[in-house]
Amino acid sequence: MGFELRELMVESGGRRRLGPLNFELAGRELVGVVGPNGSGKTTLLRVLYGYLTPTSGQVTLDHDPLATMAPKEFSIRVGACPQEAEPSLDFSVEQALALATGGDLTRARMCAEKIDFLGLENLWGRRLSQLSGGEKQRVRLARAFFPDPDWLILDEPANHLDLATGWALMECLRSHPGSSGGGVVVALHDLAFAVRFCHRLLVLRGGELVAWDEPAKALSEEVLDHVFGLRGRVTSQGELSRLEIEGVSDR
Amino acid sequence: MGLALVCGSGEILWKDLLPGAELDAPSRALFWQLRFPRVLTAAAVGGALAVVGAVLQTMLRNPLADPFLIGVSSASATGTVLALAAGISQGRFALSAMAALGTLIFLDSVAYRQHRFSDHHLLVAGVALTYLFSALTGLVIALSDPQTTRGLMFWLMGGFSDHEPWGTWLSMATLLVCTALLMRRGRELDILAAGDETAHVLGVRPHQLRRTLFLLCSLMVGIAVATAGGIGFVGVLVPHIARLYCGINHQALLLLSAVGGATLTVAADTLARTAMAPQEIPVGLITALLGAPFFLLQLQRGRAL
Repeated sequence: MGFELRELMVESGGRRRLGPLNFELAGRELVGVVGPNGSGKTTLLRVLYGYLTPTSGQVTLDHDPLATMAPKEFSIRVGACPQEAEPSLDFSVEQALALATGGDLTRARMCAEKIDFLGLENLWGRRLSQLSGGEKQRVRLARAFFPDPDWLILDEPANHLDLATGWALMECLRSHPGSSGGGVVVALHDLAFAVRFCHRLLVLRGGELVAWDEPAKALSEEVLDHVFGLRGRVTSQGELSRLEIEGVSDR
Repeated sequence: MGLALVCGSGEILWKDLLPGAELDAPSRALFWQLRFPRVLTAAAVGGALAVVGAVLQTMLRNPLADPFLIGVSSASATGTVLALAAGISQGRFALSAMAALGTLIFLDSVAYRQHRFSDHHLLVAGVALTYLFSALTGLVIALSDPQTTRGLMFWLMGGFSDHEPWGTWLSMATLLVCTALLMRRGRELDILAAGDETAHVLGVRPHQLRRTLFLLCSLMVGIAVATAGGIGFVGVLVPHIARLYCGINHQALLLLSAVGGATLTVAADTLARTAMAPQEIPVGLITALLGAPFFLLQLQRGRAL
């Protein structure tokens, strides 16, 4: 059950961006996708939320191939927050949120106020163009939560957020990963965040899977050195792991 | 609209049009055979151009997009001129709509690279196409005989002085049917305005939606241009103002654009046939004289193009 990737490959412009990948995401956990810049994090997430069709291989969700699923049904099962620049046509905060509720502004407000750590009630009546980067990110995140999807796929969700909101978000995702049999997948560039909150990490380099394990095992000293160019280690105390970085690798 | 029906080079007064009033035969003929269809045609063409402008602005996420800007109207003009020069004037609607559709399909293939939509590519290609088709239109006009040339030139400047009854009905029917179909996709257009990837995760497939929009838009532009020639700026001006009132709500926006476009064009046409009566000014010149300064003012205020 959950997401299954078989011999997945994505090529564009004659270059391989991703793959071959083979793995399963069973759900009920917060999975972090990590890797250096250009390692294919966003590409992998785009494949998972169906925006990018793989060049070869297959992706299924609960045994249904993504390619054959109806857009509406898919958007109810999988909520996603891409990293996308804001459009130049201007929306009010409520209108932007209501895109996910079929135009219903009242329901949009109600749903948004339930996600208390995003603090959206302070933004009512404002326009997207007047918001800061972090405030826009809150609006975009809220939309992904709206239909209460099984799966959440978030690309750099803590981007632009202040630290407290970022922590609150990650704590929420860690404690309720996938309410009804789904799970949460986040791409993160911040390894300290990934180690602190994720149940398991998917480490990518050049589009290939390097490690797929609990943070302490996935980010071995060797992986930190070879993939990320960092000297450091992950230490564990009970359920919590922490990343300690000493410096940049010598090479 | 009422005013437009009354004004004109033959005297027909308000009271003559009221129910129960008797109109003498020549006046009645003038009204029903010339003026009424003319006003109806102007309304249909103006409404269609404004609706297409509104849709293109959303599709390209560019508040100043318009069928003339991306070469679609120019392609229609070439199609129409070809049909007229070849003496198959009835076929010009089909040829014009096909030229518009071909252009939009080509632009679609230019704009989509590796499944990603690039409005930058589309705009640049559109400008190049505008030049190409203007040149082709000029070539057709230059090669046709002098008598035809004068007619083609006047048609090109845009106007409603020359109309056939079935052209009126065709353009009105196209406006009503296509606008209704577009309004049914209003919610999806709202979502498309937020960006392709966002639209995708909200359950709208941007590529498929664009295909449908292209089809409906090319039909509307094709028939509008074949009917009335080059009537510019209605497509930018009207949706732009309509947006001030209805924001991103596309159902309201399309309806308001249709009504606004119709009103503006009928007004411009009335001005065209009364300002220097009995001499007629091409309507396209009037809309350009009104629209271009507005367009430039927007640019000067720093609006994104």
